[in-house]
Amino acid sequence: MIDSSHHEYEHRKMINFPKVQRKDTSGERNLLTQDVFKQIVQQYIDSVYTAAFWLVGEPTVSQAVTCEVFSKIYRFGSNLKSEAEIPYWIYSFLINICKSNERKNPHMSIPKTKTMPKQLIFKWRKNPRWIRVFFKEFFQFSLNQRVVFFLKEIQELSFPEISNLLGRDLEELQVDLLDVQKKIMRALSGETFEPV
Amino acid sequence: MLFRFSKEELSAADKRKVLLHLGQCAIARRELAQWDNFKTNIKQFKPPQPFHIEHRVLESVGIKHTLGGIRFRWVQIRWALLGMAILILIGNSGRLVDFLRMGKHTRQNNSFVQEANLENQTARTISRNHAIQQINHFFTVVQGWSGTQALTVYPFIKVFKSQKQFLAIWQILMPTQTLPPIDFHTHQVLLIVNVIHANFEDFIHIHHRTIKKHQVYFYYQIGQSDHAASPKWESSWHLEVITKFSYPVIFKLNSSRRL
Repeated sequence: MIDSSHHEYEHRKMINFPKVQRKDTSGERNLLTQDVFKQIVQQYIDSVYTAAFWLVGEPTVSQAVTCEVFSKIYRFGSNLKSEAEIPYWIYSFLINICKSNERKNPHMSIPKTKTMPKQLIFKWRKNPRWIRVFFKEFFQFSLNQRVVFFLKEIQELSFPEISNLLGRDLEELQVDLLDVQKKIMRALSGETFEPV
Repeated sequence: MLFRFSKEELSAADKRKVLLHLGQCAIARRELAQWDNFKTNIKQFKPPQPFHIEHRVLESVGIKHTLGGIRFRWVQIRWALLGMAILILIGNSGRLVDFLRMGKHTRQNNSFVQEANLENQTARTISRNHAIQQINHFFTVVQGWSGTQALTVYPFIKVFKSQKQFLAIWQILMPTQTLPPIDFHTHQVLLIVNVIHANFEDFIHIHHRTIKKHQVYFYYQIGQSDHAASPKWESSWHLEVITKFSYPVIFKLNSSRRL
């Protein structure tokens, strides 16, 4: 009994790591060398950052989330079988990290800042009004709804793919999306969509 | 239904239903178009990009990533230049203040400016040798000593640039006496103190801090004077001795130019 509880405690402690070295770096089976990882970072970083922004809604936090996503990819890179898995990994890591960050006691080392840096605020205000209105409305929704909207409308995945990814029923997803659509259209009813 | 509507076989109530339905369809179509428009526009949106995110990602993993690019270099260079500028400003602030005060004074006293202009010719010819000549003249004529004696006996010559420097030395050498009224803007001030050669190193040893701080320059000739030969002077060294035997002399050189 004592041993098992101790083990659990150890496990919980083990999760709180900011940086983790990979187990084996010289293995031949390992696809993910440092150079390959750098290439992956260069290829996906923009899309991962934008996705994180869509889910989190704050530049500093989304930056931390991207760092966490890539560190996870690097950590578990020995399990990577082909390059086609990478986007799926990114999606799943991203969503899990955002979910865990929304919890009361997040185990990730992601800041919970509520303020935006000044430079970014100035850049943000340069956006047209309808975008600001939209995001103000958009971040009132729950994370699940935001994820569904992002995957369906922005990333243009199909409902079966999304349900497979999130492990939710199709109907739930459709209801969430409809709710989002309705509220956003109500908010943006008087707006003219100037180009960004 | 629509076919029957076009052939006008419907009653008024049915017609109203159809029209309502068509209107709803139009509204729905408009909403759909608006939604498509919104979607196409929102896909153009790019969130505010933080600085060097890629570097931070690689750093968080533990890969050392050299930052290249002129942008980062420019940031470094900019900070370096700013720091250098601040250091230069701090270093020159005292001189700047002096310069400003001089300028103010020259602006206020026109008579002095005129004087300076008249004496410009002589002022330019003043050099260190010229100053020594003047000192010799002073001692030979006013005090009644020979020039060589004067130079050997009074080895400590200082050119003061401000009253603060002068005060520092004066309080060491002549603590009891009152300060002479000197205008430091109009006159160069030379302080010559009687320090005999035997005790000169002791003097430096005691007062090296003030000497270093105020950058005191010593001009002296090696040679024995009558005073230095006496054993009383060699054995005892104290500030009282200085005040007793030393004789500070202040020259007022009528020139705007510093030595």
